[in-house]
This record gives sequence, structure tokens and C-alpha cells, in this order.
Amino acid sequence: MVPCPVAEPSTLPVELTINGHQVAARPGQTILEVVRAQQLDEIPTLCHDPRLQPYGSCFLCVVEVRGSPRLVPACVTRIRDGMEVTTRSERILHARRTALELLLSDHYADCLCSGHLACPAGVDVQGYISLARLGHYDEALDLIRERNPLPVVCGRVCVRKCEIQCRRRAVDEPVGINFIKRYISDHGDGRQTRPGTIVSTGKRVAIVGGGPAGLTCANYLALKGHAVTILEALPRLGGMLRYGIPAYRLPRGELDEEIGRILGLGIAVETGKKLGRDFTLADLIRRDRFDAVFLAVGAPLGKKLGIPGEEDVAGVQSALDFLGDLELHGPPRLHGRVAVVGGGNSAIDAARTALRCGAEQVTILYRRTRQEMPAHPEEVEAAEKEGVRLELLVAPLAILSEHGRLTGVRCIRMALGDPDASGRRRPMPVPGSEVDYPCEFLLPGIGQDADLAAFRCEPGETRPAISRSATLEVDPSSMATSLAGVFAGGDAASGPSAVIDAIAHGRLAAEAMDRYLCSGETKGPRTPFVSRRDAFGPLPDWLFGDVPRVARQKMPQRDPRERTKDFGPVELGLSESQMGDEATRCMECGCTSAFRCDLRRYATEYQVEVARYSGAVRRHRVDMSHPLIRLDPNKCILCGRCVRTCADLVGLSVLGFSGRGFITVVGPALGRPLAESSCIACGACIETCPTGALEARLPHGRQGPWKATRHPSICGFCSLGCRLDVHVVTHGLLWATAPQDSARGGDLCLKGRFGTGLIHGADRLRRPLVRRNGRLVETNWGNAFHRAARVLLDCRTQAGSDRLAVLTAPRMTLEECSLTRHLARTALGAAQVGSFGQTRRGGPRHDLDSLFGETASTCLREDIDAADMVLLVGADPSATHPVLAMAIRRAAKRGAEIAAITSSKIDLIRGTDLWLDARRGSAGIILAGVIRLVFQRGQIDRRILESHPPGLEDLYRSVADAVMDEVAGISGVEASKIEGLAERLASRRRIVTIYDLDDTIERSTDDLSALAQLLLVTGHLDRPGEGFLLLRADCNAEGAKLVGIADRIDPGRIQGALVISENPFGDPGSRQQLQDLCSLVVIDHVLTETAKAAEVVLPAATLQESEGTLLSCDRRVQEIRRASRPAAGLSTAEVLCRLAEELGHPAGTADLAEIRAEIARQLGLPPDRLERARDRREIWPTRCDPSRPLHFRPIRLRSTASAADVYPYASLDAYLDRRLAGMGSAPP
Amino acid sequence: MHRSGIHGRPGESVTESAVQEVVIGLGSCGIAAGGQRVYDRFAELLHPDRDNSVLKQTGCIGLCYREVLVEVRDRQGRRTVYGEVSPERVDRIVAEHLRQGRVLDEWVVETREVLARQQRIVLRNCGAIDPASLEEYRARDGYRALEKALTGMTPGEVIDVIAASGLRGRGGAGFPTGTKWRLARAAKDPQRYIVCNADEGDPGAFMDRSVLEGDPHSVLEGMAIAAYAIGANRGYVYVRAEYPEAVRRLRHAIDQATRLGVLGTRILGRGFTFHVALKEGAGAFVCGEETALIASIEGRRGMPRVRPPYPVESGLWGHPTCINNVETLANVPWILLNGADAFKAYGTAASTGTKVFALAGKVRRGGLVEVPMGITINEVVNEIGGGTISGRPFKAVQMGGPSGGCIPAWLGNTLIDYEQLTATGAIMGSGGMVVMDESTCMVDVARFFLGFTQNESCGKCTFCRIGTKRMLEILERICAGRGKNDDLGVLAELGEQIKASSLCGLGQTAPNPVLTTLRYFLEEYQAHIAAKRCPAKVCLALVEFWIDPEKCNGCGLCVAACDASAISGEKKLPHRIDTGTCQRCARCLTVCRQDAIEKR
Repeated sequence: MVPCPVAEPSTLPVELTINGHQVAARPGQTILEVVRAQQLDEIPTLCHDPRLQPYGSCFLCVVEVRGSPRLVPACVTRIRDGMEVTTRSERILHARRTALELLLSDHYADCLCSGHLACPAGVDVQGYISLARLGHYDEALDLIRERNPLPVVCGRVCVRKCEIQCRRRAVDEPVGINFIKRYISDHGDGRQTRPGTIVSTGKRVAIVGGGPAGLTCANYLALKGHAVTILEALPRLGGMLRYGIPAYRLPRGELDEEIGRILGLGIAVETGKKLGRDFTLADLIRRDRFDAVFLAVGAPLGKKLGIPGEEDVAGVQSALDFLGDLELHGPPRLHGRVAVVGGGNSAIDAARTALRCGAEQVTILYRRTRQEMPAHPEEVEAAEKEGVRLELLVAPLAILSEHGRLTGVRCIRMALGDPDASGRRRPMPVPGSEVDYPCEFLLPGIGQDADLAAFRCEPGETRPAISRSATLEVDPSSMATSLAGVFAGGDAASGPSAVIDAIAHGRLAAEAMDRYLCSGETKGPRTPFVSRRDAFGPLPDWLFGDVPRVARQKMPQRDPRERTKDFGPVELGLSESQMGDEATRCMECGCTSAFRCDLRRYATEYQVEVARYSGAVRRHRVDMSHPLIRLDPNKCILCGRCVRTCADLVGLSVLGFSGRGFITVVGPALGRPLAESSCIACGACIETCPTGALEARLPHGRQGPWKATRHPSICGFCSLGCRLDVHVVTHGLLWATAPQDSARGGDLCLKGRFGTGLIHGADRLRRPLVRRNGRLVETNWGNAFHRAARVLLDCRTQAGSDRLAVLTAPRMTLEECSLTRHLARTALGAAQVGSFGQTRRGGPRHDLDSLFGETASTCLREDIDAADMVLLVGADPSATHPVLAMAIRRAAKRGAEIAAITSSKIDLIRGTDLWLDARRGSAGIILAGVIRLVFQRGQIDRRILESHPPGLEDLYRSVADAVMDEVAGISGVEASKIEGLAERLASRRRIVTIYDLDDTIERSTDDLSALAQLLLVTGHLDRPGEGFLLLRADCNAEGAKLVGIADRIDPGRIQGALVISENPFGDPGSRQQLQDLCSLVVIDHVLTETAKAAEVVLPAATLQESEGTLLSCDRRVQEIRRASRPAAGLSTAEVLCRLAEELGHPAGTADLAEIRAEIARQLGLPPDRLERARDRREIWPTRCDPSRPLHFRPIRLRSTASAADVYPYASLDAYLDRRLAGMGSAPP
Repeated sequence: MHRSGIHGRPGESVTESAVQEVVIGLGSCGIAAGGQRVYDRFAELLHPDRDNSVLKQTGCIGLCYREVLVEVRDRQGRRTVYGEVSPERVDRIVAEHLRQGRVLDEWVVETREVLARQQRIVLRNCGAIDPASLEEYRARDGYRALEKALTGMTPGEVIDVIAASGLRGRGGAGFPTGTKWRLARAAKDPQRYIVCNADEGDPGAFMDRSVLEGDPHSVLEGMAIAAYAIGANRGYVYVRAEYPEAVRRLRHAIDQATRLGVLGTRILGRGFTFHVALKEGAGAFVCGEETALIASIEGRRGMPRVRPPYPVESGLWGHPTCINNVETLANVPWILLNGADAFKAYGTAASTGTKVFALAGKVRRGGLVEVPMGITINEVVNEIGGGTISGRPFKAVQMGGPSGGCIPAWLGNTLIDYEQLTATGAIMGSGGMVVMDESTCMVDVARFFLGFTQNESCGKCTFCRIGTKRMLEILERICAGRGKNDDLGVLAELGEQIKASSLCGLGQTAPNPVLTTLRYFLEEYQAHIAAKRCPAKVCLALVEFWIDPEKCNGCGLCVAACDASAISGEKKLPHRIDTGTCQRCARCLTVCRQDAIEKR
């Protein structure tokens, strides 16, 4: 095919007008690219990914172009000279909003879990449950505190609107959310997490009332840097929490601590200051010059029954006053019979408190039935267990008294009539059914009122507007009153309601007040968009069909007979295992991409109304077949980014569109589950998905959503050293994505993306272990180092240093390798230092040392992007280095040829006719045959002929017997194919050759030497962009070799060893070889088979927990920075230093920069050479140089019996393989 | 030259001949009407020697409403066309006409009226020649235009002639063909393609199919000329797999042409090489859109992409590709042979030549017609089509298929011309012309066409995929009597937005049927919504079934047919329908032999 000529490259910039500005831009750019690059506006888009070809499907990016009657998608429209573009207009915004509304009208998904939505304070219920499930209580507590500064209080007294809405109800019972919250508040770190420094704004705020609303408002205003003073009428803070909720429900110690934590933010408190008595609102504003005021005066007045005798008979007291007096003056002595009127929480509290104050019999009189009682059912049940009697369907008519002393209450029986405004059935008196209840005390608990008399003495201009329901009138979006700068919340604004409502008010007001104080605006915050499945009608049963029924945990309580004797707590809290079981019941209904979803972000920004275009919605089952990727077509907006990414970037086409019209859907071919597709689990589709349609199934067992911080890092699984971003929620809870910073984005494979998070998970060693009485037990670091030194020194004394070895997988940083060498050579004097795994693989290799001085790669992996041909010799990148395979597939897509000499049908040769399907061990002979052909045909590179390096004749002579028929016969490859390869090598194609140094199956005699010399004589090694890549199994094999810890190991002679991140005992054959090994110290991440046999096990840090330098297989020098703290507290470098110290040979320095300088000194490089290379991500300074004088050498023509030894000795790989294989089943 | 077929004047003696010919119309329309059985019956009855008759077949003659058509060219040189021929009628035709020379007047189709206003350029061979016979095509100047181009004209001169003729793309958009060819020729990339778009997908349109079935060589010749003009050496015919007969005849024609040396390497012994391959589309309407068509030929899912770049710059595999419709290409040989001026003699200044229409719907004489541009809609419907079947005035004409719109009868004097039709809100389109009378509900029509585009949307663009669905839902609601007052506003607004914000022609035109009916028949929508009434009595939810007691004879057939048991009545006495229980299935309507059941 004739290559398509590119449009004449014009160097002149295109001049156009965007939003009235003259703009010059590169020809060929799209409008979107220009607007983004020159930061002219924010154009929204869902279907555009800069790494992919322009597509244009979502129509969010529409702009106006003068002369075009239609709106134009900016992402696909190329700029032209003189174009006039408008990126913002009523028409454009309307179109974008409509596009979003249409997309969301067919988006059968929940952004947030219904519990989260039901919580008035908007606490991230799903988020904290998942953190708690994983044992991160501090983080869970912090998450709650983001929206609710009173978690301890709420953990005990919350009305649990979240549980009422919990989706789990459709399966069995709601999740015990509040039980979990209580557990978190009991076990999380009590300290308030404060932002590093709070910058003072110089603004002063007065908060009138120290109840939950006031405290919450104070908390968030203080965090914003405002100076807050709380004015409280009563002697102590807490409001209804203290004076309305009895101590057996909310222990005062806990309450005081919680209030103390808030006050600790630097909040001033004045108690005994009552509005209207001690000061007025006018005083606060005019005299005291407060910049803003929050009124949270509550509703402290108990409602009257409104029946005769109520006011003047002794023994009648409102339940509220009764509870308040108890707190102010201590428990009163009650006796005889007590009647409580009402069915709310206050009435129940009064009844149960009356029992604790000595009442012999307590009766609750309620005018409706139990079903209508506003009190929490569990509270009612608890009261009954304690002996409180319920009299239902009765209403008081009159107080009965003798000599001014209460003797009873006359009631009338009620019957339920039609539902009233509240939806509850209205109680109607039954005529003639009067009944008397004799009692000594009557406690009406039928409601509360705000104390509005406080405002009566205000002058008119500071008297806030009062609503018809006798509360302060507020704007519900900002809690602003009718007065500028005065806000109100809590019961005073809403009438009596729950603690969590007051908290919600306090937080909302704090946000609005902050905005008011900073900008003078009183508008409330823009609430993030929320998509809800229930907006599309009742949820189908199949959504819950597969969820196993699990009973809700029961809250352990003290025995009712015991607990009524005092005011000690009734509920004891769940045990850790109960909490874990309860948290596991959470179905994670909310979208785990809620924090990254572009659709949601734009929906918020463009203030969409989903109901505008309601209609049919596609309801799909979520594809959970794949262990690592979750495909939820309900959330798919058909932008095709995954489809295009998989096809164009990964080079596969696992995902595609099927169907037409409205029912079009994205998924694997033929509607198969993802697990049955050819997916390689690289997760690139997840990364590009703008919604939550494709999500990673995190290995932690819980999905979040969590907010995380992003740290640049390097993948340590293969030798490519791919960059990745680590997202850290907290130590042990992290995941990886491709880096965001580069336009290319970067590729990741299965291991990089999913393994990185996995190895920080549950199985990690977090404490050192020593063997005691034959068993490994946890110990402290000091002890462990001491024992480790003992074990190794004793072995050296007894067996001699030549029987001592240090075995290490080259997966450490260069600096750690250097420390290892010091430890091995100087501190231990061990005879052998090297990788057992590499030794078993036949390494280390020196095949090319005599040719180039080093056996190392001569080109970069990026060279594949411009290559005309990729030649694979004994390498299978799709199995060992999948990211390289993606680059090769991309190269093939743009027309590069793929050739391979392998014995097995590797994935990459699909579609190429240049697969030389050689018998195992015959690659060297094939290459010799090709060399002979090249010589015979006189196709030797001119420069080689001119310089005529020594040994050329020897080489020619050595391949003289490799005649084509012979070679074809031995290798089993058709002669025409071998000749085809020779032909291509003789051409001027730009060829990148890939050889796997650590592959044992494909290796053959002198194959690498033959390959290198073939490339030399054909002139494919010295041009830029050509050369060979030598793949390695370990991430820093090159570094280890340079530092000198890559010797061959002689296992038979090892009696004592320090083993670092290798697992030779994982393989019975190797264990056999190491039969003399008895004194064993292991440094590793997990408890491997080798570690299980050790005397001492020291936890290692992963790369993401380390700092230092890595050398990739193409010898790029990369810096790795710490993303998360080491699981066991010490980095591997620190462990090595401490061990050396313990052995009596301190490393001299633990400073990594100094270690690098020392490495440079030993290699004869300028001291800062390595540092500089790291900063620029350069190539290793001594990279082998094909231009140095050459000396060809003969090739032995011998086919090789293969050694099929592929056991992954690096313990992390083995661990990862096992875990990945076992994933997708139940969460841990 | 042998002149035959329905182009000559009926009854006129052309040549005296010893042999009489029997030509059976075996286009898809003829086959569907039972043409093959008629053919077989003739073959059975006619004795080769004794009857001295030759049995032939041809493509669609155009009078589809009278299929099966059989033309007899007898020894006297008379040409007689028989309509609605069944195998039973064949016996009499053979016995009386062929053997005794007596014309069976009662079965003769009067073609004069139909053909008087027509001008056949594209259909010049359709119904006249055996499509399987290259000789017959050549006998009618076939491949002479190609020869003329190759031997006497430079590619530039060919383009000049086409440009001068004013030929515009007959696929619907009407882009000047000469300009398109010139752009393709100007491309720097030497690898160029010519594609014949034969993915005819409009409901009710069958022009391309008839041409491919009736005269495949004219399309191939047009392609070869186009290839010569733009410098392409490869061509594809993208034809729907649902046109098996067209596919078969095309394949056959390609083989013949290649053997003859008018396709393939060194065509007519010159240095021009042109290979044609057939690509069968899987029936996705959107694949008629040129970028989606390209994707489909390349083996990808047929999804349109943004233009520019236009296919003439970057088409198949990134190479310049000129895509022309079947009808456009069939015009090309005629223009080259007869000259640009001959072509321009027909039509208006901006719309030259002729246009083929598939006349369908409630028209008396449905079929394929080719008329000069500039004729009015009224002329086509009333004079050629013979008005409506019911005899009452037509109500509207739907033109341009799902991308087009409904033109009301009061605009019947609109000239058939690209610009004039576009001004009405409809489009020329590829030539579907559906005639509607007062028994057609315009809301239902809009619903039908929108349902079609919704199902055929490739799913790429938000507005087209979901927007049309929401519009469709509103229309369905209106038809079901659940329309809301603000529905019409939403329809109009959403329709405009879909037009403004879609990538390809399908989406950009999908709302047209709705928008034009809203524009011309607003009161019909309002009747559905406000009065819950369907004036055309089509929307079943809005009609009541009623038995005319005058007509009902109490036979009870309707009672047996009614699943809802909504009909009652004494035997032999007028029955009645209980509207409350009636499910409006209309089954009673179909079983009643007295025509007593009415919708009201």
C-alpha cells in the first residue's frame, strides 16, 4: 500500500479569533486543543482523550463558529485561518446542559449511597464504613468529622436517618451504620485532625447557644480561621445533648471530651450569658463588633398539655425540665407512680430516667399506637425491658389533685381516624371512655418551643423575622436570617428536631458565614449533582437477588435489672469482629468513582435538571465476572473512549459497540462476560472512562470511594520501570494509575496497576519476627536486629565466611544494593553475594562484554515507536513485559513489521508472516545461518567493510557450516522465512531487536552473541533509534550488576544466609540444592516459604515506601520517592544500615545522596553524575557504546537442550501471581 | 437499431419480425408479485418451434402497481403490455394473443398517461433490456461512453462535461458531481478510490435497487468513467445484502464486463486499470452516510466521523475516495454520449436533468417514475400517479425518507428542485415519495419515521441516540392520548437541538419529519393532545369503534373475533360495541363483511 501523504506541512501559524481574541495556533490543531493550550476557556468534554484520535460523540464541547448554522464540536473541528469561534453563549450553554440532561436521563446509577444522601449532614457513610472495615479507624473518624464534628455523640444518640434509607432493607435489615460509627468513634484517634496551620482571617463571630448546632458551626468556622466566641446561657456547653439526653445514653465524660476537642481549635466560651437577659443581638453587632452572629438558641421550653391544673399542681413538670434539672442539680428523689405523656425520644428518656430516680412504676401515655411513636423503636424496646409500661391510645383530659398535690391524670381513650398532614392517622377521642391513672408525678414530654421572648427586647432593626411556626425564619440554603450577617440554625430555626439536623444546620451556616465573611455573599454552596436510581422508578428485584441474607448485629447491652440502678451506659458497643461483620453487610451502593466522575462534575457545573427529559432508561446487570475490572453498562455514556483505548493504545479490541440506536451498548464481543474475553487486565479502559462504568476492583476487598493523594512513583514488577501514580488513602490503602502529567499518559499492565495496591494489603509483614521455641513470634526491631546479627555471626564463626551468603532479588534501589554490598562484603564477609533466582536462570550473563564491554541494552523502549520493524528473539513481552507489548502492537498498527524467532506461538506474532517457529534451542543456529547469508550475498554494512574490525573472518568461518538446508532442517523453520529475515536485515529498515536475558526456555548457544554480531554486520546497531533491548526479570537487575552484587551463587556451599526478597524455598528443587542452609535471616514483604524457615524475619519496605534510584532494562536512571510510610516503620535501607551497625560495621552513612556519590566514585564518575541523570531521567552514563573498537568473535553452532526453569524466585511476583489468581472471590 | 420496450409508442409498429417476443418484468417487484411463476408458465406453454416465440426477462418496468407485467412484441410489430398477469392468465395470452394474434384488451395496461410526463435517462434501459445480457446493453450504446472517454477525452475533459451538465449527487444532498470529481482528482495521494453508494435504506425507496437489477452495466460504466476521470484504479459497490437480486446481477455484470475488457487491467487496451469489488452491507441505514460507509468497507463498525476531512481528501484507508450514488453514476454514460447540453435541456437552472422517484403510499399508480427536474409535486402525484387511491385530494407528500419531511398539499405547486424542496423543510433526498391522503395521521407518520431513525442511529452522538428516543417517546405518548401541553414545545426545541448538534446527516436530519409536520399540521398534533382525538382515525387509542346499525346484519363474525368480548347483540339484529371494554385491536373491522364497523 502506498503510504498516505501528509498534508503539506505549513510552518505558518493559523490565525483565528476565539471569543474576540486574536489567536495564532499551529495548523492542524482542533479548536479544543487551541483553547486548552492557550487557556482561553474551560470547554467541557466527556468523549475526548488527548491520546486518542478526535472522535466527537458527547457534544459537550460544542462551540459556535461564525458561518456555521450548526453548533460545532470543538474536539473534532480543525482550525482555519480567519475562523471566528465563540466558546460561551446562551445557546452553547443550553446545548451542553441538554446533552448532559439527555445523558443523565439514561444513566441508571447512584452517585452516592442512599444512607449518605439521607444523612442531613451529608456524612460519607459508605466511605467510613469501608475504611472501618479495613481497620483504618482514624481515617474513618476524620472522614466523619469532615461533615460532623460530633461523631461520639451521634454514635450514641443519632436518629439514624441513614439506616431508614439504607438499600440493604430490600435484602434483609439495614446496615447497623450507627453501631459502626460508634465503634469508629470509640477506637479512632480522638484528636481532631487540624490543617497544618489555620490562617487567621481577623473576622470575629459570635455564636449564641452552645448546643450541637452552635458547636458545629463554631468548629467549622474556627477551621476556616475565624475567631469564634460561644455565648451559652446555662453553666455548661452541650445544649440538649447535656440537658436533654440522659447520661445512660450519652456518658458525660465522652460528651465533655468531644466538646473539648472542638474548643481546642481556639474557641472562646462565655457561659451563663443568656440572650435577652444578659445581652441583645444589637449588643453583639454594635457594641462588641462581631462580624457575624449565629443564633442557635434551641427550643428549650417544654410544650404544655393545655389542660386544667397543669400550672399549679405540685408533681407536674415537663419532661424537658425534669431532664434539665437532673443535670443541673443532680437526680431528684422520686417515688410511687410516674406518668409520662408523649411518644417521642424525650418522653422515653424521661420515663427511663424516672425509673433510675426511684420511681416504682412508670407509665407512658401516648395518644396513638406504637407504630406512630416518633421515638426510635430500639429506645422504646429498651424502656419496656427496663419495666416502663406503655398505655397507648389515651390522651390526658385533666389533672387530678388533692391539696395542690398531684394524685393522677384523667385520660380519654382514642381511636385512629384518617391520616393527617404528617401522614400518620389522626387520633380521635372515643366519647365516654374516660379513664383515670393515679400517679404521684406527671411528666409531659409532648414537644418543645423556641424561646422567642429573647428577641422581644431587640430594637426593630436587629429583630430577626419569625416564622408562623414560631421559629426564626431562615433561608434553608444558607441558614441566613432576615438580618445581614445573622444566621440561625438548630431547633430555633427548624423547631424541635434531631441532633444530626442541628449539626447539618451548623455546618451549612458555617459555610455560608465563611463566604459571607470573605466575600459578603450570603448564597449557599452549590450542591454537587447526584444521580439516583430510585428517580427512575422502583428498583427491580434482581438488583438484590444475588445478595446473601446476613442478619444485622445486635448491640450488646447491660442487663435491664442492673442498668436501671445507675446512670451508667446501657449500650456497650460492638466488638471488633461484630463491627467487621456489620461493615461487610454494606453493599457499597454508591459509585466508587463519585470523586473522579467527569459526568458528575459537569452536571454540577451546568446545574442540570435530570427530570427534563425523562423516559425509558436502560437497566443492565453489572458485569462482575472479571476479578479486577467491573463493567457497569448502566453508567456508560457510550463515549467510546474505552473501545478506542483498547483498540488503538493497547492494541487489542476487547471492547466494542453492539446494537444500534438507544440500546447501543459497550462490552466484549457477542455480549460475553469480560472474564471470558481476551482482556489482559491492563486497566487502560478504567483510566480513560469519564464515569464509573469501568472501575478497578480494588484488591482491598472494599471499594470506597475514597479521596486519595497522588504520588508519582515507579512500578517495580518488571525491568521496564514504568512510571505510575500511587494514590494513597492511608498507609496500606493505596492503588496505582498511569501518570497524569504526561500527554501520553503512559501505559500500565496488570501488575503495575493492580499489584501495586495488592502488595500493600493484608498479608504484609508489619512486625519483625524471631524464632522462639520453634515458632516465629513478633518482636521489636532492636531484638530482631540483635538476633539476626547473632545468627549470621555464629554461622560465620562455625562454618566460615565462605559458607555464608547474601541472596537478593535485584528489586531494591541502587542505594539499597550498595548497602547490601557493604553488609555482605564488609560487615559479614560473605563469600557469595547474588541472586539465587538469576543463578537458576543461568545468569548473570556476559555474552556481549567482549564485544561492547558490557552486556546491556543499546536503545530505549521509546525507539519502538519509530521503528519500521521489531524483531523478537526468545522474548515474549506480552507475558513478561506487557507494556512493551502494547508499544509493539501500536507499532504494528501503524505499519511496522513484527518478526520473531521463538519456539512457542507468542501473542505478538499474530498477524505476522515473519514468525520463525524455531525448535527450542536453535535460535543461535538460525542467526548463524542468517549471518552466513548476509556474508554470502555481500550485504555487509559498508562501514564494517571499510573499518574491517578484527575477528570478522573468524566469525565468517564459524558460520560457514550454517548452510540454509542444514539450518532449516535443524530449526524446523522454512528456509524462505529465514531468507526473508535476512533480506529485511539487509535493508535500511529501522529495526529494534528485543531479547530476554532472563528467559531460560528459548535460550540457545551463542544466540545473543550471534544476534549482536548480525546486527553489527548489517549496520543496525549504530544508528539512532535502532539497537537491542535486553529484557530482565527484575526491576533493578542492571543496578545490582553495576554495584557488584550479582555474582553466581553456588548453593551447595551455603550454610548460612541473609535472604532479601527472594524465595528459594518456594520451589522444592531449589530447597534441595540449599539443603545445608540452616542459619537463615530473611528480609521480605510477606511471610514466604523461605521466611517461614528463618530464624529471624525482618519486614521489608516496598518500592512505594522507599526512596532511591532504579535502573530500567534500557538503563534509564529513575528516581523513586516515598509515597507511603513503610508498613513496619523502617525502610529497607534503614533495615540494612541497622543490621550492619549491629554487626559492628556501620555503613558509614545512611544518607542516600552520599551513597550515590560513593557509587559514582567507585565507578569512576563525577560525584553528582548520578544525581543529574536522575533529574533528567537520562540513560546510565556508562551505557554500552557500539562505536568503540569492535572485535568479532566466532559462534559455536550447537543447538541447546532447554532448561525449563521458570520459577519466579522474587517473592513479590510469586505472591502477586497467587493473589491475582485467587481474586474475584469473596472479599477478605 | 433494435428499439423495443415501453419507450416506444404502444401499438406502433417498429419492425416486422418473424419471431415474437414475450418479456416478463423480473425486478424484485415483479418477482414479489409472482413473476417467476408467470415466466415458468410461459416456458411451459410455449413451444420453441411451433410458437416461434422468444421468452425474455427484464428489470423493473416502473409500473409496479400493475405487476406482474408482461410485454408481448408480436409478429405484427405491435407492443402490448399486460398487467397483473397471473399464471392462469398466461394460458389465455398464449392461446389467444400469441397463437391467434388477438390482443386481450381487458388486461392491457395503458402506459401513455403514465409515461407522458416522464423522461427516461437513468431508467433508459430498465424494463427494456435483459439485465443479464451484456449484448442487449451494448446494443443500446452500452460502454460506448466509456470508449468515448478513454479514446477521445482527457480525464479533465470528462470532468468538464459532467460539471457543465450540472449533474448533482442523487443520493440526497445534491452536491455537484463535477466538483466532487475535480476535488478527488486534485488530491495529491495517487491511490484513489471510487465508491458506488448502493446502500439504499429509506423506507419506501427502491430506485437504486431497480437500476441495479434492471441495468447494472450502466452503473458499472458510470463508475469506470468516474474512475478514469479522478484517476482511481479501484472501486467498490457498497450494496445492501437485503438486495440479493441486485447483488447477483451486479456480480454477473462485473464478470461480464471484466471478460469484455471494460473492467480490469488495461481497459479497452489502454493504460487504464480499474477493478471493481462488491461489498455487501449488513443493512445498517447509517452505512449510507459516507464516512460510516467507509468504516464499514474497512471492516469497522459503521459509525460516522466528523467531516472535514471529506472522503475526497481522506476516505478509504486514508486515501482520497469519491463516493457517488447509483443514480448519479447511471446518468454519467448518457451525459457523456449525449452531451452536457442535452442533459441541461431538462430541469431548472440549478437542478438539471431528471430525477427518479419511488412513488408510494396512497397513490393510485405507485411505482418508479423518472421526471425532469422542475416539474411540480402536483404533476407527479396527480398526473403521473393518478391521484390518490381513494380519489380524494392528497393531503401531503413525504419526501426524502426519514431525513426528509412532509410537504402539505397546499404546497403542491412546489417545483421539484433541490433548493425549492429544501425551503419547504423537506429535501430532495434519494427519491422516496410517499403520498398521503386524509386517512393518514401526520403524528403517526412522524412517529414512524422517527422510530426508524432512532432504531438506525449508530449510537454515537448523544443527541441522536438519546434525543431522538425522547422525541419518539413524546410522539408515542401523543399517539396514545397521553400528550401533555408542553410536549410540542419540547419536541420543537429538542428537534432543533438534535439538528444543531449531531455529527452526521442521519442525526442532523432525523427530526425533519417531526419538525415539518409540526410546521404544517400543528392542529393535528393539538387535536391529539387537547381534544384527545386523532382526526385521521389512525391512532387507535384515540378512536372509538362503532357499528353502523344500518349496515350490520347481525352475522356475529365480529363477536367471535373479539377477544375482549366487547361486542354484543342478538343474532340477526344490529350489534353494538362497548367502548369501555373495547381494546381497539381492530380485529372486528377486518372480519366484518358488511363494512359496518367504523372508527370515529
